[in-house]
Amino acid sequence: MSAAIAALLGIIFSISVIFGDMFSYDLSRGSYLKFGFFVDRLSAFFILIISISVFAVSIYSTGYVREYFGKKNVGYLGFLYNIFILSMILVTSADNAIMFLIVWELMSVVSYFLVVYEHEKPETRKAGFIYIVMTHIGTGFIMISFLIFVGTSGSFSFGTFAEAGKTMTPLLKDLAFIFALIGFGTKAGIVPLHIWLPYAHPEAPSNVSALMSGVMIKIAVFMFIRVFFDFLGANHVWWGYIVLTLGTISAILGILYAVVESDIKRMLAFSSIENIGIILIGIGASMIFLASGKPVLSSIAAIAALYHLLNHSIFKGLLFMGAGSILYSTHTKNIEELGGLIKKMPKSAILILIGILSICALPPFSGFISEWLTFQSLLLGFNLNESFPMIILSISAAVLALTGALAAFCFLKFFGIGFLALPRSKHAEHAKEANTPMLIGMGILAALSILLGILPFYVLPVLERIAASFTGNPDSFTFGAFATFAIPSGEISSGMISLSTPVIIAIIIIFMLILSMILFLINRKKQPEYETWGCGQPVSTSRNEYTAAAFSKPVQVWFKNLYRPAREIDVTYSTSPLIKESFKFESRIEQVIEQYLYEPVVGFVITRSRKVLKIRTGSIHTYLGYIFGTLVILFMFVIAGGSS
Amino acid sequence: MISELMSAIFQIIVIFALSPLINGIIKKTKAFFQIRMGPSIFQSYYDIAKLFRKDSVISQNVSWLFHAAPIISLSAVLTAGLFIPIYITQLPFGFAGDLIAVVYLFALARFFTALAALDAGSSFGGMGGSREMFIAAMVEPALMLSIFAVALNVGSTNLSYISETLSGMGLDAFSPYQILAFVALFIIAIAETGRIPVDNPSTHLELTMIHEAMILEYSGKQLAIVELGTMAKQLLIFSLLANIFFPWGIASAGAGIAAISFALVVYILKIVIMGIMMAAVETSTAKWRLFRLPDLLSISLIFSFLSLVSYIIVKGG
Repeated sequence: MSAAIAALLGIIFSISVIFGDMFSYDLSRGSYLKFGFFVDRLSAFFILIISISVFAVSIYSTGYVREYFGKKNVGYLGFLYNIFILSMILVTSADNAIMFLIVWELMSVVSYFLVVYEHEKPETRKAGFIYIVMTHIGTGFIMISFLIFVGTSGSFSFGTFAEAGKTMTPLLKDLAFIFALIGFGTKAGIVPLHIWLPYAHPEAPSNVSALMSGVMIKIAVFMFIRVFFDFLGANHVWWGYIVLTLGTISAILGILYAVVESDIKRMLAFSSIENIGIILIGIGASMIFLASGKPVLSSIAAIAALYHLLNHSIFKGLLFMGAGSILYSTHTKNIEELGGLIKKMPKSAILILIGILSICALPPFSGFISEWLTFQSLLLGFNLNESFPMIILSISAAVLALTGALAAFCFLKFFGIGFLALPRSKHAEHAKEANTPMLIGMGILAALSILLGILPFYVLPVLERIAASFTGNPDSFTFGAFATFAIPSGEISSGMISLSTPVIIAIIIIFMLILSMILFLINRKKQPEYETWGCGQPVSTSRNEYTAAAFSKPVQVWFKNLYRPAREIDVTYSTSPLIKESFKFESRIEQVIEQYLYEPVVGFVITRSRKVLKIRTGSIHTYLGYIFGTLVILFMFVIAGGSS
Repeated sequence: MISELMSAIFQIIVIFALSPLINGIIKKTKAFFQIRMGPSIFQSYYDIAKLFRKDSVISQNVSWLFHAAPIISLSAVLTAGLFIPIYITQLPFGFAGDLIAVVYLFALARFFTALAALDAGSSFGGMGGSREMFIAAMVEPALMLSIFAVALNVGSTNLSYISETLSGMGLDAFSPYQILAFVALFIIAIAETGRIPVDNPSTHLELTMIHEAMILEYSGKQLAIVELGTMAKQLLIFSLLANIFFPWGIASAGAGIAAISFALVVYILKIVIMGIMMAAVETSTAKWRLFRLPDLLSISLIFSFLSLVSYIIVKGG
């Protein structure tokens, strides 16, 4: 609960920084290690995102942890949870590389302990292992990238990194870019560095997954913007192409794996990869435009990315909490065992439906605004008047459109199979509504999803200020009557491009009222009820319903080269071959990237490390010999360095 | 303000009045090609009127979503109708939504129809919903690229602005990239309106229907609303094609009554031709297997991509 109050303070503080100026505070003034805080508009925006999610999730958690009462140590969970939140805030406000790496590591390690909270399950331990390995590989690359900066600036302070970025040779800049991309990309979960994400996020307790997916992976995006724009100046066009391409690939692959997934939390984790991809499409486009000398376009694309980032942290937090509520009341995360929940948990169902409509970018909910902005910024890229970026941007837009449609497919499956029709198992039949704190937590984020959708004209000016802090262009939109916002005509488009979601929602509601009124007036008597049509047979059992696997089958067939589906049919016959005793059908899909990219590497490392084992003799004399040898070599380095 | 509101209401009335007619004309044309008499072109009006007098039989398994979905879908389609130029380029609410918003409003309508399909717990609903969303996913990339091609030519995604500019261009509006984009969008229109070879609107054979499978549980007044929504969407898609690619004859902003009535006649002519073309395609092809459809929609994707490339070649780069 205290976390919720602290989060409120965080919201107030970050809003004041966004509208005011920057804030910095030095803790100590030692000569080697400086600890200090530095909060500018960009970090304040991320602190705002963290605080909003934490506020809602903390209220939710007070209800959710009842699940663990008497079974697990809840105090331990609360301790880790609070440290995790603290570390995320410290990461966004650290002002030098050393402090940053310490709190970044703190965030990774604490989140590892949160992932393995239910460590009695073997799959949880496996998920935790993959997570801790991947996150340390990432940290390694981040260190290299930072050391490149330190090599030029001679100081660990982030303030000097920006200066270093201007004086570095192009080769060093490229190296710093690539290492930072890999390092932070691992945390963000971009393809092909995403493999830990679908393991770790589903295994953590749901309130923690809401924060990991909603907030933690965004912090990597924060560092992308910091490093690429503030430190490196984003002046190489090909960096933008790389970020855009990786974003596009992450978006489509993330959603393709989400579509065929039947574990709801894994599905949401894959969808996080997709959404990070959409955010990176915006950031990549913004980098391309900035490097091509179009700051107006660049800031529109950056605003699209920031808007989507904000939206995603809210609706993904909401959906993970929703998945938690389902888990809480049915004890299963498998869609195939749910069904009929709209009648058992009506309030949760509505809140989750709002999250789903937002994530599917359906108007007038929040995701629609950010996807609309992303499409517009890709379209306006045609002002560059060069054929290569035009083709890249339009391919990216086509893939984004496919991603959006598949997201609708995926979440329609989630809601349609999970919540509608009849319960498919005992679990779903005995489901109860989630408790009040859980509903309040979800309700806050659901309300925000709606508000961000219908009130973009309050949000966009704020985002303009934030984007201006790294693209240098303060005015991207014009705002008109009826809460319209528009991309002004003239410089970048010949006709006005405008959107007004309040008008759209008002028109839809007016039509709905008129139609319901007409139906109400002509529907005087009660309508007859009857069984669902089943070709004349009574079908009102859940065994006749369409399953989630069947629902996503068309996509699986369409992309069979990616999924490489394998099926196993196991039939046991009784005495006669005509009578089947039991029937087992199993169908699997392959994780292509894991299989073809990671397994060879892992195999290579394991065989090599076996060889290294040979130098471990177990004799103390040999070890002393190693130490002596190392010292000699180090001395030689020092002497050689001193003489030059 | 009042006159703008009147204009919006009149546009909705035109959409309601014409959408069953187009459906009737398509049916009649198909009957003509199949050497049948066919029903009267006004049959769709009679059907709607009949359905409104009937009771709805409602499945025992459904939730509130089943009741709300037809209303939400029809409202979303009609809202899109206010952003699409029909007979006049000036739209009272044109500032509030553009071409991309129209695409997403149709998506909203589709989403709720497919959700309601799953609500009754019948396999047909699931099958229909799954296939409808599958086709929508295949359509979407080609649709977005064609939108890009059209929007680039004009420099905006605002539909009033697009048809205003294009109708002012005279025959210049008939550029190579426009033709390629038209082919792409025509294939998309076949898929979006659920016509052969993608879906067969007159089938009720369990295994072949897509849209019909989704709405199988609806009856009576609710079915009437669903049918109106489907027909209105079809009319709007035809109007989009007609006014983006053959914009001539549409009334410009501030036109008088005479000009508007003339534009209305031209508009009806345009969509009737569009309907006859659609009927010709329907009778001359057979329905394709579901898993062959990616081929058809890749053709559309390729055409829209070619349209973009030819724009880049013609306009510079």
